Amino acid sequence: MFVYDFSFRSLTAAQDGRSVLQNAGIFAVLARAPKLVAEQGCGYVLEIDGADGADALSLFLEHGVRFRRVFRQFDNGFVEEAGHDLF
Amino acid sequence: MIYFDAAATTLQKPPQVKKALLYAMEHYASPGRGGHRPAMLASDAVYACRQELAALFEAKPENVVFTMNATHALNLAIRSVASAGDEVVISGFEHNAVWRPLNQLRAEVRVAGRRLFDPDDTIGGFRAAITENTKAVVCTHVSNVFGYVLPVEEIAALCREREVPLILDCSQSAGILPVSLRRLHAAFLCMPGHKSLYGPQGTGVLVCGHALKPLLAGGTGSLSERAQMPEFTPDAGEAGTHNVPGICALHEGVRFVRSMGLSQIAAHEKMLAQLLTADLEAIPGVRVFHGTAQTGVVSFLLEREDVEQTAARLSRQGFALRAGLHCAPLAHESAGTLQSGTVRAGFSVFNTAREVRELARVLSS
Repeated sequence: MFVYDFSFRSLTAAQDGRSVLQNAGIFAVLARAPKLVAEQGCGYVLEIDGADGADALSLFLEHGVRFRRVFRQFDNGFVEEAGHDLF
Repeated sequence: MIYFDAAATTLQKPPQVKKALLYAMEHYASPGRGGHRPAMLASDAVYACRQELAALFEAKPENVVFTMNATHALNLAIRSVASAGDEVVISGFEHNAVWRPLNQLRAEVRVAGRRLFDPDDTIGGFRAAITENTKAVVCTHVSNVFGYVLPVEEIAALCREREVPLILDCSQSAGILPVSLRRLHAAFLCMPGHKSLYGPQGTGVLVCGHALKPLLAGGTGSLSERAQMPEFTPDAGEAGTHNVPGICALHEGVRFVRSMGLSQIAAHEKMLAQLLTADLEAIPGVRVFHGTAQTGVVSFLLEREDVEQTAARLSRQGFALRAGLHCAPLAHESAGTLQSGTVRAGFSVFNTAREVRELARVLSS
């Protein structure tokens, strides 16, 4: 089991993303980005259930939500950057 | 005390504004400065206000920047589009919040349209003043002295046609008249939170349709390893800790405005202005400034009394009105009242016709 972490460089951009997801009925948790994920210091992530990742990506692209990168975070703590399998 | 100085700040606020301010002080920490619950709740509250403002001004939440006041917003906007020596065109009714930053910047300022309550003169003035060298137009939507509603749709169209960024000072129109960033294609909309948006003092808003240059540098809770300020909004304009209680209170003020409806607010205040104008015109020796394109702001003067004496006398009789130049010498120069100043009545939704009648009665006695 895993979740997707969509990273954002600003809090407001992440909140915009969460708003888009909420309007589509997709639940997302907004959190500070782990150091591993954050670029150039502080950043934010939207944590989304693995099953909703593709839909979230489509919505972000459709609405011009500017996320930076996407990571998979597994239950055991392992984190990897999502690649073309999601895109 | 009957308060008629809403053009400076609205004193009566919806009760939920004060409640929100107190609630935020007790429950919210700093947004974007931690992942703990009080910080995240604050983040949500601030974002909710951005969404409310974005809906009112037809913008995106990320383009809503919180400032200290309209002056702060105008300084940010002006510094984002103009530099020393640049030609900037302004109306003949600008506040010192526009006039002074441009002079401090050493911009080459051209003043367009000096005739009060004459939209054709205003439009013609801008058409003539904007040249191929013009770097920006800064224009107030409504004169803070006379309530004159400038023809901003036409001025915005002119700016689009000449490809000049437009900064609109909405200090006297935000929360009263419809203003749309999307429709106007303005570079920036600048406004206070504490006037007709019914928020507390210490709040202001900058709505961005143009890249923003930081005025202050400091912590933003983003890209913290970098020595430079982020270039994206709202962070570029929001260095340092937010005025969270003020923003939460402003949110309630904006909700109040949206629930009441702009047209109803504008109609009520215009009705009060027309009532006062009619009553004052019936008094010998009173000069009233009025026109068709006017909001709920009325300037007047008594020909045989200094305006400050009139305001002081009214204060003793229980009325709060502001006299003098209202920080807008340019507007007074345009109207020919630079030497005398005026007494100004500025109405809010909380004023009543009975209060206006009472002022007219006192002035006539």
